[in-house]
Amino acid sequence: MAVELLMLPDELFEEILLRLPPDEPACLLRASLVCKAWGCAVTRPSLRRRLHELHRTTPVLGFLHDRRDKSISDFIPTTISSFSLIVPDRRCWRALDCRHGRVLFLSNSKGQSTEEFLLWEPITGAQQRIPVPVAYDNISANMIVYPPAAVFCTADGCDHHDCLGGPFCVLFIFSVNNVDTDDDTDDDGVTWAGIYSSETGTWGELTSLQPFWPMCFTFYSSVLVGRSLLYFMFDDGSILEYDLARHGLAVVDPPESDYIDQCNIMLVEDGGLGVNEVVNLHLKLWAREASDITDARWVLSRVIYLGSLLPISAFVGAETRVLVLGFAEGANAIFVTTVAGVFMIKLQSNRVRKVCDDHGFCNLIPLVSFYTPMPRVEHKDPSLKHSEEADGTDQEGEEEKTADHAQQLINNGSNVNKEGDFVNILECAIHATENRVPSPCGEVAPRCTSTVNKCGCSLLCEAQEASDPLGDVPKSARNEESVKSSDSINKDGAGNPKNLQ
Amino acid sequence: MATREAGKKMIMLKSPDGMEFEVEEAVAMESQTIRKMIEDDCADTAILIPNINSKILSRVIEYCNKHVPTTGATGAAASDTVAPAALAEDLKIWDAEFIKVNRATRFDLIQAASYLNIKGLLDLTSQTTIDTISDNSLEEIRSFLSTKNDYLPEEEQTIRRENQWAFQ
Repeated sequence: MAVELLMLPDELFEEILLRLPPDEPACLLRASLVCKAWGCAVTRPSLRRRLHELHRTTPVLGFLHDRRDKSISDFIPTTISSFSLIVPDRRCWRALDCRHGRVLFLSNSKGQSTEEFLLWEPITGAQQRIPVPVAYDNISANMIVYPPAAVFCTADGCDHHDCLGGPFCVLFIFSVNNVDTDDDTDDDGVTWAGIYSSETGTWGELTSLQPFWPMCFTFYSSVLVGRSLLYFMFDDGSILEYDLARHGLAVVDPPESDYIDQCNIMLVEDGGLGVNEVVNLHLKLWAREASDITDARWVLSRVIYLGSLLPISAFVGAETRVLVLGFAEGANAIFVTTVAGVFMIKLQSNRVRKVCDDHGFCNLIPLVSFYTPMPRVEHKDPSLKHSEEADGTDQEGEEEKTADHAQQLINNGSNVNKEGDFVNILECAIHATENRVPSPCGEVAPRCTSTVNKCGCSLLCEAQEASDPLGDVPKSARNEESVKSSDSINKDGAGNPKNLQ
Repeated sequence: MATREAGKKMIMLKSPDGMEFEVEEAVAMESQTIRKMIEDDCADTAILIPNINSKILSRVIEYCNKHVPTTGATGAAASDTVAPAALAEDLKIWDAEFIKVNRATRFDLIQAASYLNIKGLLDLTSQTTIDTISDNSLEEIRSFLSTKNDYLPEEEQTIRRENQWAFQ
């Protein structure tokens, strides 16, 4: 029958797939199984761009957190349908920031000389290690814990709709407390800021600020205002501004409040700097109105009564405290914690949804992104084929060795006492995670990664037995670079960070 | 629509099967493709719409007729006018009726909406299709789209295994 043969042209598959609900990632993944043409359509880079064009707000896929409780998964999805990501193990990596589809972690090795950053793209699964600035390494003994950092895309004129794998920068802020040292300066402390550029693979010159008091950042979230101003809030409520254009640090006074230590920074609707606080169940949103640099003031722009938004169970009992734990930049949503769990409040619509039953979190790093599956091997861009063939031979053997090595390290890791020999555990875990093969095509890497992440679980044996999965890892140019990069870190401990591209 | 005042500029649209449709310029300009032609002065007499047969073109015109803003004066600014809530509700009901067509017609309408760049119609037809799909099993979707599953069983298994979260 003629009608039965009727098919939509390929470009119209995309038109239909775009309309799948963006906060239900499972729909898109299931759709990719309809046929190979759909499998290709969902992985096409243009889909991400068009999703941004069609849907006004980007969904919050979930959040990373700092809760130590092992029973809670590293990544907590906030999507309507089920969703999961294999996140770098939070015993080794502490999530600091997420922006423009990239998550930044700092290694959890306080006091060790091996601290480093890890950049992770949740959607592509690509990872890149970044050494900390030498100056930070040198003074780590005097460090104030929990230094904040921010990551952001630096592609020219980028709208961040499709910039994964592109150039990025990391801004790292750390304070040095000189009180206990023999240093002959009179200052209590210095706060330093440094920028790492993925394009040069180096840290630029550090900028310093002497605020006359040590800056503590326990809640280390940041917001990016426009293209050039990054703000961090530190524990006493003051706000640190870093001007990316001038490379200058400055302190911005917060709004007048009796509860300033419970405030959180955010972006207001027009994209300017904002601060939120919860006072007697009223969520107050302050906007900083700056007519010019010297004459800026805080204006109370909105008050939302949480008593009518949140369910009654959130206020049951003596403890009715509601705390804001995170702001989802790009999605205009905040996360609040109550005795009844964590709720996400979309500020535009006042829509509230419970996203987690637990409530013992300190800081949340929301992941704001559209989910699109990664291309599988057989749908790969033919232009990548050349490097795949060229690299095939010696990489296979290398990967087998790597997997064996990972297994060995994991075994070692599970044997040492976790309290007593943290350094060893960390070493094992770091080296084991080194062996992940970030794969733009996602054929085998996720499986390998999940295995390694669970440190010592028996899945790896099964994975190795099952049809030599590492044998057909896609060997794109990016892949090869990552492997090389990990190798160099393994060997000389210094690392040779490379651009993800 | 009959109440629209006379004296409006009319445009002739021709389908490849020889049918001609005289429509108000404002109605035709619901299509961004036609709007561009008109604005570029490429539409003096009649515009041939290739690939869209008269049956589908008449449905598209019916859609545009219904959706052309009635409150705006004329021309370019008219389509930006926001319809009042009641009118929007009325349009929604009308849309729901309009899209009650068979699959072949709906696919033709998607293609027409895409070619003519009529965002509202593309949203409506695509969304209706995706709604149908979302509620169905993979097999039902394949049969709905006349598509064959060309994954090897092991390929499908791998995707399912690697993404178990999506199949819970």
